[in-house]
Parts: sequence; structure tokens; C-alpha cells
Amino acid sequence: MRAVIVTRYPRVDTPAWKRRLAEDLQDAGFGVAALYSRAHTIDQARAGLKENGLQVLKRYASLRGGGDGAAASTTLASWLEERHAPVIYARRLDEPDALSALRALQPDLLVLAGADIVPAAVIDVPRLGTINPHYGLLPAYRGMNVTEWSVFHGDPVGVTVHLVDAGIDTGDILLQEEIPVEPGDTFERLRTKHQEVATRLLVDAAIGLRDGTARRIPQRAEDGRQYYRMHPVLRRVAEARLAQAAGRG
Amino acid sequence: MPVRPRLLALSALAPRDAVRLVTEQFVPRPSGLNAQALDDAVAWLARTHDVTGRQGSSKGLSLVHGWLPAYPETTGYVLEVLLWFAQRRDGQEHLVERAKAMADWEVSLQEPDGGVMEGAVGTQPRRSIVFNTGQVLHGWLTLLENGHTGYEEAAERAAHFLVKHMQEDGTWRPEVEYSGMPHTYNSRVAWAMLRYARHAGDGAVQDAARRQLEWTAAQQQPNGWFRHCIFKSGMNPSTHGIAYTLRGLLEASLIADEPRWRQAVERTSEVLIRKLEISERLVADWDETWQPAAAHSCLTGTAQLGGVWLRLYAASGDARWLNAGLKAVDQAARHQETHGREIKGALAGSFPIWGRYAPFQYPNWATRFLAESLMLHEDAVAGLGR
Repeated sequence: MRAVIVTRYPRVDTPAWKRRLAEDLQDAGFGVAALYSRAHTIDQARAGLKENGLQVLKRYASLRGGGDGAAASTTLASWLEERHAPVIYARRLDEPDALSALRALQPDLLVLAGADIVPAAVIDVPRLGTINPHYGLLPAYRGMNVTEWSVFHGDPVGVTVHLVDAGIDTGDILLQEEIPVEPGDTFERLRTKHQEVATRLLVDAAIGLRDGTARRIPQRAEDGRQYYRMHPVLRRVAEARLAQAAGRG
Repeated sequence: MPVRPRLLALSALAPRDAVRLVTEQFVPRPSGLNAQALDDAVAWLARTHDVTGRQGSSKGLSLVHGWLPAYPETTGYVLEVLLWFAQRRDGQEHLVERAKAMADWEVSLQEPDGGVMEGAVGTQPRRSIVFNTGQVLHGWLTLLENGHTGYEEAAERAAHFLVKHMQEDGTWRPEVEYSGMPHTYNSRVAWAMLRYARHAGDGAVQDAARRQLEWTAAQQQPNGWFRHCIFKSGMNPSTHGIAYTLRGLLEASLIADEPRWRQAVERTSEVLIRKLEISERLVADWDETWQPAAAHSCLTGTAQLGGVWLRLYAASGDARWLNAGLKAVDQAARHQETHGREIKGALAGSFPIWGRYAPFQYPNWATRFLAESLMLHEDAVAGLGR
């Protein structure tokens, strides 16, 4: 039974939760591989600059490791390659060579972990489906910055693992877990909590699909709304509301 | 500004926008508005009144041709902005006087049939046009609703002109239509008619307005795109015309308590806020499958859409519209001129400035809609603190 983790930016793919995900999938009996989309360096630089300004250089350095004398962090790609697990690199996920290589792996499951938008041609490959961790409680909160939007509205935050379909965050829900806001929480800390929960739920969902025990809850389009990146004015409001909820305000 | 300095300005502004076109691919968008943005926009609108000898608001400044003649259609809604601004700032009574002077000028120009002329002053032959009549009706009504008298007869004549020339299906006769064709953006006219009907208790005007709005709503495709949302045949709908259409439907839905029209606005808006998110700069024109049909942005349209979404937020409480509204207003305001004796405070027709919509011009309506959206932005942000 093979699971392929789909992600991007292999040279800076150092977040520890992804290596834990790979390890936990292996411990659960899955053969693990990875499929990376790797946009042209110019496009990555452009996206990084737009998102972070000149801070992108600092962010790049911290992701690669080696800043402040710390040891360079292991990327998921190198971790897998050390274990002789297949790693496919592609400019675009649906380019012919990447699709051929993916099909040759005969994946049973794709697990999205910070991937680009996944084309239908890729979603169609795995036997059991493609699963995604969404950092919001579906169906209500679809789209982007959903943790921030949930806090803005005074709603619970949490993680949903769902099957991926042609829509955006509209596939069948497999597992969902609320995350309590605790004293001192910031959005940064909540993100870390989301990653920990997501890792566990992804593995549980993978096992459920493999064993035929997964419960699928379809979503209706009208039950949720599509959210987008939060304007800075609204983000400040969300931060203030989080600070209050976390006993910091 | 004599011709040579204007051409010099043009030769500086075009390269500036060329640089911005490149850097927008790489540089994070600055957030936050210039604190002087609204005041500067209103000051520029007052200047458009001065340059005509206080005979209406100039159609705008062309960097090639200079200040353009006074334009009755847009003067009708420019005066509203002056009045609203005066209501929120101390010591702006002079703007109320300007608004009244503009409204009086409009009365003096009103056609014998009750309509308002096509084009700027000097356009020949003169004929009454539905859309223009509706916009001036808005101006007179805003003064009447704020306790200023003397416009009742002019408003009545305008409203009755609109009823008289409406056809059974809610469109107007070609001879009183711009380009001789029906337009969904006339929902803004219907909005004015509903305002009039509410003010005067005129059921016939109300019924006619509803017919227009039902026709407009019926032009919407399942994907949110509107047929007949164009100014001339052979064009694609622009954000300017789309925003007119949406704003008319939205405000009418609130006056008439008709949720279907607001739902129509939401249907199109869902598409556009996604476009705004993906592209980060809304282009001007869109085809029937919502593919971009232009490279330039119509800054008027972007500012107007910001206003639509801020009003939609006020009506619905859905903060997604607030989010999109703030972003759209930011996007338009980013291009407001902050220097230049004749252009400080003004918004160009297009970004880049050579774009197809009013190239190398600062239309008075672009700054007018920016000013209104800045006021709505101010109110929305203030409301967050409550």
C-alpha cells in the first residue's frame, strides 16, 4: 500500500511535521514516496518577494537552516532519499513525465502537504483518493486564512481532513478535530498545533481509507463560504480577538 | 497648466506606470491608505468646479487636451460627494454651497422634455439620455433628502421623463439610450427612480423602476455575467459598467426590500472577489466566461466595486465583502495622484495610464467614485471598533 506525499519547494521543505507524517505513514504500513512541484526559481523568488518582501531572504535561510549557527535542517526529500524512497521532481504536477512517474508508482493514496493546486489529472491517479488537511472546520470555512477568519467570527478553530475533488475544500469530510484556544496562543502557535493535529488525522484517515472503515461525510455547496487572504485591517482585529480569547488581551 | 508642462507630466507618468507594471510582480502591495486620500480627492473635485467658472464639474483633465468642458451627467453625482464630505468634516460649508451651485446649474440645463443632455457641454445635437437623467436625479434627490429645497420640480420632471420613455419590458426607447441600446447599468437609473418614488410617493415611477430592475436581473447568466452590460456594441463588459449594474441592483433591493436583486449582486460578486484574489489587480474587461479581455485596469471600476462590496457588507454583515471591499479600495487608491498642481488627489482612467479606458485622462467620475468608496472604507473600518 503506497502513499505519495505531494508538496513543493524541495530545497526548503524542512518543516518537521512533514518528516513526522512520512514516518507515521511508514509506521502504519504504507510505502511512502513524494511528488514535488518545483516552480522556476524566478517564480519562487517572485512569489516569495510578494509575500514577504525582503524578509524572504531571512525566511529562506531559516527554512534551509544554518542561521545563527544552527545545523542545517533535513528536507523531506533528502530524508526520503536517504531511505531509498522514491521522490519525483516536476516543474508542474501535471507535466507528462511527472504523471508517468506517478502512475508508475501505482499510488493508492495521495496526501497533500502544502502542495500547489492539484490538477484533476493527478487527483485521478490514486486508487483510494487524495486527502488534504484543511486548517479550518468544514464546511463552514473554505479557502484561505480560515483560522484567522474563524477567530474573527468568534467560531472554533480546528483541522479537517477531506478527500479532494474538483472544487476548493468541497470534498467529503473524513475526520475533523477542534483545537482549543489556550492561554498565550498566537496565530503562530495555533499553526503549530494545527500541524500536529493534521499529521495525526492524515495518518488516521489514510488507515481508514485503506481498511475501508473511513466514514465519508459529503459537503453541500451551500453549507460553506469561500474565504480569501485577510486584509491587514481585519487581521489586526482577528489578532486582538485571539489575544482576548487567549487571555492576553 | 499650459500644454508643455502637461506633456512633460505625461512623459513622466507613462514611464512611472511602466515601472509599476513590472514591480507589481515582485513587490509586496503596501497596505493602508494615504491619510489625505479622501481630502485630496474632494479638493480635486472642487477644482473641477473652479475650472469651469463654477458652471458644473469639468469632465476631467486630459494630459493632451487640458481641462475638458463641464459634464452634466457626472456633475449630478459629483455634487453628492461634496455634500457627504461636508457632513463628515467640520468647516466644509463651502462644499455645500458648491453642491447647490452644481444642482442649480443642472436645473438651468435641464431639457424641455425633463431629461438631461448627452455628453459634455457643447455637445451637438442635444438630446436627452436616460442614464444621464438618472444620475442628475440622484444629485437633486440627495439635496432634497438633506433638507435643501428648490429641486422638487426638476426631480419630478426628470422622473416623469424616465417613465414616459420606458417600454413594456423595462428597457427604454433606443432614441433616449446611449448608443441606442439597452443597458443593465441603467439599474442605477432605476435606483434613482425608487428614491424619487419614496420621496414623492409616486407609484407610477416605482412600478417603472421595478420593471427595469426585473429586466436587469433577467440579463444575469448562471455564472453571474450580465448580457447588455456594455456601453457600445462589440465591447466586453467592463468593471465600470458591471459596478454600475451591481450598485443599482443592490441599493434598489434595499429600498424595495427585494432580496432577489441582492442575491444577483452576490452571485456576480462571488466571481469577482475570486478574480481579485487570484490576479491581485482587477483588469477592466471580462468576456462571457469570465476570462480577462483587457490588460489594463479601469480604476473607476475598481473603486466602484470596492464601494459595492462595502455596501454589500453593510447590508449583509458578511465580512468577506468587507475584506474584498477594503482590498479593492486599496487597489484603486494606490494609483491616486499625490503630487502635481493640477492632478493631486485625482484618479486616472486607467492603470497603466495609457490603458484603453480614458487614456491619459483624469475623469471627474473616477475621483468621484474613489471619494465615495474612501468614505465607505472609513465608515466600515470605524464600525469594526464598535
